[in-house]
Amino acid sequence: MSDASSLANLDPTRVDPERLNLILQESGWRVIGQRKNLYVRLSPPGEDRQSVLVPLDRQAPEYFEKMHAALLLISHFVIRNMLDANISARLVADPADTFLFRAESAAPSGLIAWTHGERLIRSSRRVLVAGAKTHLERLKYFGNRFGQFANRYLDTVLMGQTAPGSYIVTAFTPANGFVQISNTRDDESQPMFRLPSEAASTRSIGVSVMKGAAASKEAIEHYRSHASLSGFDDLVSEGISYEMTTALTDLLSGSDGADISVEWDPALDAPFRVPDNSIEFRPSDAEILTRASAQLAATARPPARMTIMGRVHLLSQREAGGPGIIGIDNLSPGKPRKLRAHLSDDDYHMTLKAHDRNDAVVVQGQVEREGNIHWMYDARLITVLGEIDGIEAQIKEGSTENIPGQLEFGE
Amino acid sequence: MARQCSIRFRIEPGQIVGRGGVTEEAVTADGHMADTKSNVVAVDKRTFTAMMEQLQEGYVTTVAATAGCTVEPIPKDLYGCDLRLVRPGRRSDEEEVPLLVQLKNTTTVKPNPAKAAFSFKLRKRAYLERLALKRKIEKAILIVMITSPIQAEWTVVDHDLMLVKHCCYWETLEGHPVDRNVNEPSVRIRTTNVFDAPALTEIMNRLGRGESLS
Repeated sequence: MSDASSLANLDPTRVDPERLNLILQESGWRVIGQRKNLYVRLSPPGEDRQSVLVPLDRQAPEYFEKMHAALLLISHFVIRNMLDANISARLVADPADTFLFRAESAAPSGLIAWTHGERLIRSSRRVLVAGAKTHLERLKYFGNRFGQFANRYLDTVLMGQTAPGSYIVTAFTPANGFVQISNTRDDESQPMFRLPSEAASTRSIGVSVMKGAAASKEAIEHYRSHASLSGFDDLVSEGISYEMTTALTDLLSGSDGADISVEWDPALDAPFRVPDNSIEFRPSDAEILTRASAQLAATARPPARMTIMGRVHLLSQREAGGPGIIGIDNLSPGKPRKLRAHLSDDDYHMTLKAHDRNDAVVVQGQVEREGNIHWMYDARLITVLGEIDGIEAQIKEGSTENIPGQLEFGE
Repeated sequence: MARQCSIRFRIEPGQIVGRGGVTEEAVTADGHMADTKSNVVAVDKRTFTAMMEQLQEGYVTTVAATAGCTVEPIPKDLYGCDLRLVRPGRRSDEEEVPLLVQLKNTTTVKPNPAKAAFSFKLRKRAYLERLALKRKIEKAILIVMITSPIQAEWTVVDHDLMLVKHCCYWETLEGHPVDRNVNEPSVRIRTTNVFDAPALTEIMNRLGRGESLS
């Protein structure tokens, strides 16, 4: 009987016994006995030696005692069921480290507002992703770097049952798995001869996740005692990144506190030099994390600028005089085939005219991929070239050296 | 081959045990026995009180089986009761009858069968409060077992019978007055209320008809 269960803490006067009866039956409980209008006895799935008596007669003097007892007993079975599920999940799967992302909220224990629950799952994913990225390199800001590696890591992770108590998202990560670092396909290289350096162990990635979260907590404490965000910069080497601080902000958003904890599977030796197995964050940490995120992003080395030549195929301006968005078919080889760029009003209108005349344009900016779209940030129009058909013909002839803009690639 | 539960009275001083770890005299609350004042001869001192509970559960379960009643354990502290006995409906138009029982086992009490009743002390007022509660949904009774302090002699089995020492008595205490000033209330148990299969059947019959047990 655990106080952790929300059922056990329910006010018996608020429970509709008929509804409880119905919900239990819908959950697979069987009616094994009853007396009309007095009570119904139900057994949980797989249990035939024990039953829960749900009282139906609210006028009975012992009604509330009985209802309270029923709720306690049901929660006992529910918890046992969950523990069984987690045990069986761990038995059938390979050894797994267990990450628990817990959010406190005003909702009754075991429940969470829908949007908050979605955010909790999303932010849990973001913490795992941020930790995976810092495993490969310690950077203030990753943007899309190592995104595919992080996705391959996520592909190894199982989401477990939610646990009773506050709302908890459980992630099982293989304790002895490996994630390829580069995107080499198996048929292009021979996995048998792959060097260990080409793959990262899932356990060590998990350690990076906890290190990044712990370093963030340390930097928050440093801020509280020194009123300085310098701890965040100093601990980038320990796994702090813009991605980690924003993920933690997301985790805390709308909660009354959150924590991340891990249980290392005992099938493997406990990791060496790992921070605490549980890291707590307070609601007031969110503001510090937000400020740290802004600073990390502002001082991070920006992505390299690229120059692209191509045909304008999309023009969009929300309001006259404001910035516009253009879409470009890239005619330069070896770069994203399509890009979008934010341009100032002046540059936007030059591009609009180039579109009318079917002229090629050359734009420059920082290219980052978001989902399936490559975006060019801080972009400006370098020049408008001649008619696109002629340039395309030149490209087909292979004389790309003469195309203006092409020479500037990589600058 | 039917086995019988034979009851013989041979009562010696010892201790009282209830499911809540209630003990008396020579047995401490954690089940360890002090060396003084004990006439207990345990097979294993560490588990003696737990075995007293098990013995009584076995007795009650055996009687229930004889009377065609199912037995299911109740997690501690739910109703202050230990078991739920249920007699299923014997015809399609008859409903089942449930009964909660609180178990107490003792080696210190010596009921005289010639007298109408004996006195039994409950070690917590709460036990009486749970039993005295007016109930409509399912009734509760107290079952007191009188046990030998010599553990190895609790049962004797032969080809045609099984002997269990000594005897269980049942009592209904619904509506019994509860004195808030008394921490260990004594209750009166009728010696005519030997807990056996005919008695349990009669209890279930009366409850099924909605009659009182007192």
